[in-house]
Amino acid sequence: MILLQYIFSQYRRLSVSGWALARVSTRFLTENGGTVMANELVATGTPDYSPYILKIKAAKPDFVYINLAGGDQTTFLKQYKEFGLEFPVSGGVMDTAGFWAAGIESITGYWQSLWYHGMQTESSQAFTKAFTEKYKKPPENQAWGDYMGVKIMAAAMEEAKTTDTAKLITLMESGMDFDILKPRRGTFRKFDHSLLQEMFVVKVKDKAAMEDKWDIFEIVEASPGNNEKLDVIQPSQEENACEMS
Amino acid sequence: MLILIEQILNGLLVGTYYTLLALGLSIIFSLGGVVNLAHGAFYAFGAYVMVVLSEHLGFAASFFITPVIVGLTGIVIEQLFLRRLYNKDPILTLLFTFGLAMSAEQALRLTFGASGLPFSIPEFLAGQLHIGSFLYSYYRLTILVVTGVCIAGLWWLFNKTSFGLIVRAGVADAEMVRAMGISVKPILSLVFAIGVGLAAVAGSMSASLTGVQPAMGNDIVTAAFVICVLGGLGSFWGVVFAGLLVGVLKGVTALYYPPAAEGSIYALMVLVLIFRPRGLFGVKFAKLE
Repeated sequence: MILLQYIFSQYRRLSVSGWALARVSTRFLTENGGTVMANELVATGTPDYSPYILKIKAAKPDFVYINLAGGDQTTFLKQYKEFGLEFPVSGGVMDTAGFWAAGIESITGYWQSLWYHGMQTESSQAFTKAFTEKYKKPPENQAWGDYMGVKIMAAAMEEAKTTDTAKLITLMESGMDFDILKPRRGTFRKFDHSLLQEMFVVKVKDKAAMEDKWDIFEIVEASPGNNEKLDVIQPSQEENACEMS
Repeated sequence: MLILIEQILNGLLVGTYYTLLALGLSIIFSLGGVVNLAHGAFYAFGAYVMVVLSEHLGFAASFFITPVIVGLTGIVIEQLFLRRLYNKDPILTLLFTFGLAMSAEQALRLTFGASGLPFSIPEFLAGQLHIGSFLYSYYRLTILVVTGVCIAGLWWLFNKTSFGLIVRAGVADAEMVRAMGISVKPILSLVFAIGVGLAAVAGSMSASLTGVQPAMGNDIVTAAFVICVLGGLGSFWGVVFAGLLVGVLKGVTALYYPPAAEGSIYALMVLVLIFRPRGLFGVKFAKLE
């Protein structure tokens, strides 16, 4: 089946992430037999997506793929629901906070997630419990990321018995693994310092199945699979534009 | 061709929404000479009040009460702070409203958090209208009706009532109005309340269409300023025309070159200002000229 995809990518003046997401999304689709019908670049903070939604209606794609982030995700999802188009929507970016703000009525389908508070590992549940008690809401994926940044640094300092930057980098490059609140532990790749980690396919829950207003996803599966190397989902050294100085 | 027509018609719908926000900004400037940089903050405040009230009173009741609450807040701010700055250097009102905007955003962030609050279109306004191959959402058609009522109401208020007569006289010559024994102060308060009340109406309606988050006023208020400048500061129908023009321009630009859709209105503003600095229908302002 040829998948006709309508991609929205976020055009940011000071960031390449929208462009990079568009590039990898397009490559993945075409490598798997799909055809990109259109790739719309929109400005960050666009308050009204109705012109683009009308273009989607006219194009009649098999699905719509959004590389929007933050508030733009929320705005697009709400307005897409408003117009009642039935083409499935998925995307290369999923921020839990943006999806909470869109509301369960506005979201459907499968998405990708770096981390979700429904993760059932012991450390993940402990983090979720402590965060929820303090802030009266569960942590979103970005809160997890901030927590991981500090937790990893603390673990490295404890192991290296120093706060010296160069020694900490050497330790992290050596393959030390860290508890990143996921089933598999994470390590850093030497040539670009990427954190090798799992991602997860998540599916929007039925409203009736939600335990509370934050409970919007069920975790379907991890990627890569348990028997695959973690760097399978990372760009190779040849593909990676990032270089360490 | 059909899609172009559809984008133009949709742009007119979208433009009415921008018109509502810009009208409030324009009338505050017309009488008080205040460039209200906090207009976006009142828009955001209106959205939050709408979300909070709706949990207890439902959508319809909250929609009518929200502008009143925001308007009353505006009166308090005008009487306590802005009133002291009217006869001073205009930069002071700019600085005050700028500080108010920053403070309001942080206050919303402290109260409700940085993440957006969920808020959906109510069931009785949800759904779409199909006319041939054209698609409209019932909610946006409702916004059209609300904006039309507001425009008609404002026109009637400023042109057919004694209040409006005093407002128009004050715009033309505030000193003469005072000399005739008419206090302009309560008029200024009411006009400010109406202006921010309109921002609250726009914010209330946008809560279902965008993320309700503390910085939501920042992007939209820039467009409101552009519309006021395009239409001409102090021109009621100029703002209405410019709002519709902005909506159509964004839609058509999104059709042919999406990356320029948001920036197109600024390009238009520059063009207009080069050839007509007062805007398309602007009037002369002695206070600033």
